[in-house]
Amino acid sequence: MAITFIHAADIHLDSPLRGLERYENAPVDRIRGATRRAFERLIDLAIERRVDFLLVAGDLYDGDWRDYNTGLYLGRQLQRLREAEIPVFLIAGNHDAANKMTRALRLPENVRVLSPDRAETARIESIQVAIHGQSFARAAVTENLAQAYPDPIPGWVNIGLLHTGLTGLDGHERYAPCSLEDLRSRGYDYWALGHIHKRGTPCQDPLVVFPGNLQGRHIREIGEKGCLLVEIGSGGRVTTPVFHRLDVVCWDRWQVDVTDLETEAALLDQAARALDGSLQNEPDPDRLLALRVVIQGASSLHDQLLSDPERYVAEIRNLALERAPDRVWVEKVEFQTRSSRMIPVLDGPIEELRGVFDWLRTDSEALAEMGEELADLKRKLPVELTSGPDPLSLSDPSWLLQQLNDVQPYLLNLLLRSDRGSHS
Amino acid sequence: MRLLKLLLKAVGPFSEVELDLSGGQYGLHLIHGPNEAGKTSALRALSHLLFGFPSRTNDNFIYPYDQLRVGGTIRHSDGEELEFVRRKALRNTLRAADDQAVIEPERLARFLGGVDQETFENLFGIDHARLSQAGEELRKGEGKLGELLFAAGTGLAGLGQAKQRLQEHLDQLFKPRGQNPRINQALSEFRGIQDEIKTYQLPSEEWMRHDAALAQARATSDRLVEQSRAARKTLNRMTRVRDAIPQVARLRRLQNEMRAFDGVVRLRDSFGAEVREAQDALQRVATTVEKSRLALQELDVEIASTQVRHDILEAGPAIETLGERLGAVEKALSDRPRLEGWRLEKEHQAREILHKLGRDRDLERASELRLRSDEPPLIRSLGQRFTALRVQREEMRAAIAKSEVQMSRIEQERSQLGSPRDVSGLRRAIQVARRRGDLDSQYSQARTSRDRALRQADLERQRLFGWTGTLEDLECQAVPPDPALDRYESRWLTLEQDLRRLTEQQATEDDAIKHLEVQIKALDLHQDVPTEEDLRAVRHRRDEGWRWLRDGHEPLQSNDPEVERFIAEFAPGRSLPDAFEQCMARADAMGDRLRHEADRVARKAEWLAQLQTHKTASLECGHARARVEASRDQWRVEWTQLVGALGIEVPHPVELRAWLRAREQVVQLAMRARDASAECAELERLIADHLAALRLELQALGVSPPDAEAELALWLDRAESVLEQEEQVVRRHEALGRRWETVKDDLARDRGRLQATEEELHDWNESWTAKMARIGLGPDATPEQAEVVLSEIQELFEALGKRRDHLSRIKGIDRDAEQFGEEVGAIAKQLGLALDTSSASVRARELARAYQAMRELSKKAATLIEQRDREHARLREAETDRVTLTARLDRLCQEAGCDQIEDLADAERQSRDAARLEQELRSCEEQLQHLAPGADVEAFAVEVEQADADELGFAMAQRESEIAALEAELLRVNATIGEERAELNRMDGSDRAAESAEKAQTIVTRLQADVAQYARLKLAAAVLNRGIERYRERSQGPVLTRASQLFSDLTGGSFARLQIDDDGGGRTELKGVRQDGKQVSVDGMSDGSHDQLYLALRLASLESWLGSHEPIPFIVDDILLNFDDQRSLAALKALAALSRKTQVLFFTHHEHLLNLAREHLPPDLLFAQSLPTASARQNGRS
Repeated sequence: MAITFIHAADIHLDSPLRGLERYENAPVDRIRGATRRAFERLIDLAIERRVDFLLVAGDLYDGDWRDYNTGLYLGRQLQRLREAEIPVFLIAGNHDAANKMTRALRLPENVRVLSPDRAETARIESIQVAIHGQSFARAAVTENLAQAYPDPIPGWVNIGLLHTGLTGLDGHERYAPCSLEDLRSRGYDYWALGHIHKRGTPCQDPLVVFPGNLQGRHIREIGEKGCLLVEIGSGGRVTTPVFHRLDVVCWDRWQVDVTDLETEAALLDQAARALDGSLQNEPDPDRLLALRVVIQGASSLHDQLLSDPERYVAEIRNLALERAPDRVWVEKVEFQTRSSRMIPVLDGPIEELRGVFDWLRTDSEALAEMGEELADLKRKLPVELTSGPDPLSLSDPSWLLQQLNDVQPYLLNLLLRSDRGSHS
Repeated sequence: MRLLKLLLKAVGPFSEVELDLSGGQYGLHLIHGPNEAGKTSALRALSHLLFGFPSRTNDNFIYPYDQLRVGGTIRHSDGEELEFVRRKALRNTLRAADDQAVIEPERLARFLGGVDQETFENLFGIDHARLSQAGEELRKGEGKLGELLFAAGTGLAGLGQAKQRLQEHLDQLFKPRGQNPRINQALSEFRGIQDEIKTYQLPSEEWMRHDAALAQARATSDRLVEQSRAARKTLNRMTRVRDAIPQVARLRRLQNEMRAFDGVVRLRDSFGAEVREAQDALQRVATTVEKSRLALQELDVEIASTQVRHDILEAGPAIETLGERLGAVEKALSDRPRLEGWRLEKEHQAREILHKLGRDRDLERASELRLRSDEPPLIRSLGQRFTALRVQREEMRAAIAKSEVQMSRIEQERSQLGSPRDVSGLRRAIQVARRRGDLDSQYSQARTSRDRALRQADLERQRLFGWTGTLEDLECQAVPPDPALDRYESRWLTLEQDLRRLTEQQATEDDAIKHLEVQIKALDLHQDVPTEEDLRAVRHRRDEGWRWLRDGHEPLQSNDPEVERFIAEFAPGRSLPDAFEQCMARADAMGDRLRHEADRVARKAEWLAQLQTHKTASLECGHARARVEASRDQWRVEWTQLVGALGIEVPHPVELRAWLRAREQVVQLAMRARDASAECAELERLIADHLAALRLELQALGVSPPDAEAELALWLDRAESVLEQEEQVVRRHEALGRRWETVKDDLARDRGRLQATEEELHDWNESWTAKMARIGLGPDATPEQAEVVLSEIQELFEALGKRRDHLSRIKGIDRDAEQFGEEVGAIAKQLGLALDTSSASVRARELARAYQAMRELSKKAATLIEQRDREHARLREAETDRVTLTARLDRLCQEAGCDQIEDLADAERQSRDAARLEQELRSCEEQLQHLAPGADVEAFAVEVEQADADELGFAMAQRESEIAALEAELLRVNATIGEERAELNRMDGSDRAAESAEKAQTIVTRLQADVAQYARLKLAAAVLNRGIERYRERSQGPVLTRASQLFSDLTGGSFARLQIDDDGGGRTELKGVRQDGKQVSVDGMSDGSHDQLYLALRLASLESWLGSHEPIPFIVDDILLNFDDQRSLAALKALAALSRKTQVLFFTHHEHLLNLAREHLPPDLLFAQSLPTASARQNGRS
């Protein structure tokens, strides 16, 4: 019988989903413990397919997560594999190395964590498979680990287990950098990589594969997530890995083009179509869709949208609730519209306001001075909001400028329509 | 722009109402509309005219949406006029006066000078509500000048409201010291969640600590358990030894006693009982034998004394039978006379019936009349049968007659109908034609759509701007692809932007140059400012002079022209030293001035430097612009080439794109038209084919076809009606044939039935004659007659039958009485009983009594004999028992080793004592065995006998305290284990901390959105304040001067003017100044004054605006409601003054305002008219 194994990475257990604003009737329960549920699906899959072993290429948990419960939970799940007699081979990634839990954790004896001191080889004699790998000893490993990996065992199936950003992959910390040539030159049959959260196969011969993470955690991790089921055929030939979905929450972006639309009803109609399309794209009712709706195009609705964005966000969320009450979480509604209305050029008080806007756009000092008015609020904000991946930089002129662009339609609308509103 | 005419064609309550607004240069047009005249509708219509109908409007209560129309004529300040009609539609809402030709919106926009609807309604419209609202805000605004000007400048009444809303919105989001605003709430929630995460999080160290503690406690526990077990074992052993001491003593005593019972016979437990039972039984048997013998003797004596007569007993059954019959015999004898009476009555009745039937009264001859039992029903049924046959015969005859009539009718109708014709060909032709559907209308539709498509295509081709070629050419034309257009467009945009930017830049530079030049000039004007250059020049001259002087030039005259010029310059006509002195004085003076006016000098120098920089920049801009213009020209050339190939002239890619879209539409239409033509031709051919086929078939049937021009449908209708006629003939023939056959069958059947009925009637007659003879009636007798005779005969025989019954009964009674007497006599004689009486009844009763007495005597004798037999049996049994019991007692003696029965009791007692002792010994050994489990009892006993009881007690106490200490320790360790285990169980891998982190993320997200929103609102507020301030700075001069004048006029001189009051804290406040110079703050003014102040500011702003823009009519809606006549007039005058700059439309429903205006305003400014009243409009319409 052929040998099969599962290659997974970047599990980030108990790492929270980010960017999901709570709103009324949002399917709150469905995002609970998403990373745990995805991990359980991984274990289920391994047991169900009776795989010969499981590889995890680093980052079992988040580096700054301090809850030993996560470790206990991990141990219990790996124990299930022990009962099914499935060995597990792990390496610690940058996150694991940063976490104290890694050292404290007592894992069942079917689990082998490869050494952080030097690259070593784990042998499975019964099926003649050798797994070479090295754990991260600390969070930031900047040397090329792959170069020091052991030579392959002749006649055996040789697999490299490595947590790396490779070289030349932008947007990722360059941990354990190495080139494809470094990997190719080792003469292994399969390189099981981790660290990059997007699934990909940088090289076909030998197979060098990132399985991506198990569960997307924010809007930058969109699409299907899961692990790879790999088969080693007769003669030690590794076949193309087969992707298995494991995610319980799927992130997606959907664009609504409002070019030339004139009424709110038409806009909502268009948004409804986008929602339907998105739901059709993800037919599995057990999977929650975390959806970002991007409204774009040139339309006379632009001013109306920006003058009361909250209302439109609520409307679109309602549309989602009507369609599939428990399936969609509208993560955010992004307005990227342009105005198609001709603005009359008059010199009066309103034009004076436009002048102020123009002035602030060009004079960053003046803008920063206006930003000072936010000092009270800024002092109260916790560090979690002013740092991290989406920081609120209340004194950053470019951030202020971005807000300023949204203010203009709001203010003009407030002035010109509040008057009329009071009469009708 | 001004309005010349407003035509309320079909809108709101109006139909074709025209307002002439052409009077004056602009004119103040007072439009009076009494209540219900539709003043508001007219105002709204004006807005619709200029900016279009909104998608929903209430103005459709007379005219539906598609018929709503407002028209008007307007004139631009440059003199151009535009007459147009506005309709409610999705597009092309502007049309020329004929309501047909479409007017592009851009044409109208030019007249409006870029004013959109919002601006128009805010800036050029004012009504009473807005005026009072603005007045109210003015009061609340406490005279803040900036806001006053800003509000008046925009025409916004709700500036204060808007600011307030902005603030509310801000407050909802965040307050620095608040708790309830959303951000504050979220922040506190976030902090709570962070704490929660910390609570739920389990640090690795904690878990490890507890795990280690548990392992240690478990080891301690195991050790303590082992120690305590060993100690307890020793203690148990000691306890057992101590407990065994008395038992061992007892064991020894019992063993001694046991020895005395050696040799005693051990009897069974039941032995004593068996002996006693046997002895008792033997005693009882002896008594029984004695009693039985006495009883037997007594019974024998009694039996001998009893005598029984057996002959009487044997005659018993006969005697009992007699007794039973006795009652019946006596009863029969008493009935006999009554039976005799009945017999005579029946005889009489029979004789009477015979007489009625006309016979003799002799009963013996009555039997002649007897009928067989089947004869009466036979006769009756014959009677009924006759009636049925008669009815049947009549029915048959009637049916035959009816059928004959029907047959003759059918024959007649058949001969009248002709024979059917073959129409299958026609049917086929119709079916084929029908299968294609309604070809006529398909054809007509196809034709219509072909024509329309052709027309449309041609129309669109003609409309296609700049295209004069044919449709075919257009279709074949090659057009540039979108990317090429995009390229051209983007290049054009870039060029245009660059050009605009450069022009603006150059203008800025030129402005700066002009500005600097003016400044420098001003500086120079004030006093020519010497420059360093000037100083250097004069010093140079001085040095030259000094050189000449030193070189010894002739002091008074010199031939050197340079020297002469020097002298002429500084001291004309005098000497070189004089000139030198003057020169030196000027150089010193200039040096002094330079020093004194150093900053002015420096400023001038700086400005000059700046001037140079700006000039260079301006020049560079000029060059750059020329380059861009060259590029643009190049672009134009390329563009013209590209468009030229298309055969049209389009200046711009956007327009070309529009043209291409239009062209695409035309091409589409042309293609559609071609398809429609082809379809049309196909239908035409089909119809012709069907017509030919139908004509052929109709001619074959000799039917004239409809005229050749008729539609296919008409042909089909005609053909179908022919087909229908023919089919009807065929159907009628078939129906008649079926009917004829039915009637024929009915007739044959009815005739057969009639004959059968006649035959039956004949047979019946024969039977009837025979039967009537039997009962003495003739053949003509009716069934009813026969019925009467039959009843009489039946009655006769019933009477005769009863008489015979009575007779036989009487004979039976006599015979029975005689026989009974004979039988009684015979029995009495046989038994030898002499019975004197002659009555059989009495004798029978005595016989019965004798028999009864003998039966009782016999029963007593039988009982005695039975008793004697039983007594005999009992005696025999008792004697047998006596022998058996004696043998058993002998056996028991033998078992106990006794010679006599009397010794048995002793032997039994000794055996019982030995058994008890043995039992006791065994129990003692068992108790010891308990104390020494698994060990040999004897060995244990020996060990116990050797132990010292006193020492044992001491050792045991020591062990017990040792165990107690160990157990206390164990208890404590076990508690620790429990605690640690519970602690570790609590650490169950729960995801509570993760869940809280998840929740924290949702809050963070909300905060991010809210904070950004808060920042935007803050920025909005700041921008608004800055804008208000800037507008104030720019406009307060000109606007305030005019507003001050207007305010004085509008308040009828109550205020002299307006004044800005700076409170020193940077706050500028507007105040009114009374005639006596007293200042009144805005919040101190009356409500009316607020309205007038706002109006004054508003009109002043408007006038200022009109100074530099295309005029737009100012629409005033009844604002003078709260003004008294004097102030109303002042306001009207102000509006009249405004009407010199732009048209003013004043709508009011107050007639007295009209009069007031007519009286006081110059006629070249005022133009008044009235809206027609509702009733007048009604009349006009009808």
